[in-house]
Amino acid sequence: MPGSRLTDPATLQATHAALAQRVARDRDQQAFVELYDYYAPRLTGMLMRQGVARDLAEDIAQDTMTTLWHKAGLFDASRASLSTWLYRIARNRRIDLHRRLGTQVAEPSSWLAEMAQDLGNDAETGLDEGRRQAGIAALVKALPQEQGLMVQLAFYEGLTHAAIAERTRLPLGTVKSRLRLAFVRLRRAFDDSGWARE
Amino acid sequence: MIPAMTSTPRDALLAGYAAGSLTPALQALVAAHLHMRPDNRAFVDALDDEMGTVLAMAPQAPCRHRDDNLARIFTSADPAVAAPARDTVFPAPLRAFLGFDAKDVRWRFLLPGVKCHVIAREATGAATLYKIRPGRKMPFHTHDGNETTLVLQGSFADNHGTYEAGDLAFADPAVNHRPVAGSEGECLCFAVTDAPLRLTGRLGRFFESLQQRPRAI
Repeated sequence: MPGSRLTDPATLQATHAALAQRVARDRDQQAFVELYDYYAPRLTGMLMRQGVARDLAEDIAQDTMTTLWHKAGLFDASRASLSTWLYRIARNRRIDLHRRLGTQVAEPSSWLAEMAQDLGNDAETGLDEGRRQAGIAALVKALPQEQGLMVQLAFYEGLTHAAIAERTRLPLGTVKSRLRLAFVRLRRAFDDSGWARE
Repeated sequence: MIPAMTSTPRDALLAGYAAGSLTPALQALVAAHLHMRPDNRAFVDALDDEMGTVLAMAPQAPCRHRDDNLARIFTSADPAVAAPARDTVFPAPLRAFLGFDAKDVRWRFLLPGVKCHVIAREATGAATLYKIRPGRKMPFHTHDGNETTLVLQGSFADNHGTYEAGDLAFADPAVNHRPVAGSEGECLCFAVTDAPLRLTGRLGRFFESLQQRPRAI
């Protein structure tokens, strides 16, 4: 999608990190509104593309942005970009809702507590600057076409194996073995790239 | 050049976790694995980061209630976050998923030397905790679906290798294995299947009939 990136990603992330810092330090509502106007429609859009119904997608986006307002102090720009941080919160929230709506689980714990634990993990494990700039996208592009397609469907579009089988009209067993191979190849490319080295 | 690991479902599982497309039980299993062991964190972090980039460039769905939503956020109370429990046997993400720690599991008899606790059966995927006596040999069994097991404590071994705390073990319908718990202590596992396991030996079929009973309750 050339031309759709009006601002280069690094500049955008630096701007957003600075706004998040103002939210954390000064409780700056204007800074928050800027982030809200950028991310709330995109969170909703991304979730809807992953098959989440609009009302639910909006709720998850709202919960995610509420978390940003209260917990911006937990965001560490040296560990992850703000969009990655927000993505993880939204993902966890979606899973948590899926679990609660789908089944009865004894004593569901607070999703915020889970999220905080997750963020604690991130603080220990986040990628450093150099590794983050390198990115997975280039490795995906270098995959053979058939495997690139599998990564596109399973990862970028977040489809289940059954949904991929339906989309590609391949037997489920074939989908599973192609997926395994595609992600093994991606993983090997990642490990070989040297970004994974501790 | 490409060893037997070619067919491991591990990396696809990690990608599914990053994409958030696994069942809640499997999401919790992978989160617990990442919590216990560092080996796969860098890969998942890179995948998460790619998703962050996708989010930053995602198509926009216009907010229908922007001003109301903002007002709600600014008037909402700061949610207190409970400090993560310390000194728990279960890693934090698993404990959060279950809502309890190892001491509060309501174990059921499965086989002599093997206890289990079925956590969820439907929307979350069938998830089971197992507690296996040191040195206990499990009956031969196969799987109708795929089974992913995270070792929480102790270890077990089968003809593919030895799995220790934090390790992931995969079994698919082609695997007919006979895991043996390590002799150093009780083996505690969290297993998620997309179909029930099938015991294959003569004894296995007998115990399978026992295993069916709790499901009916």
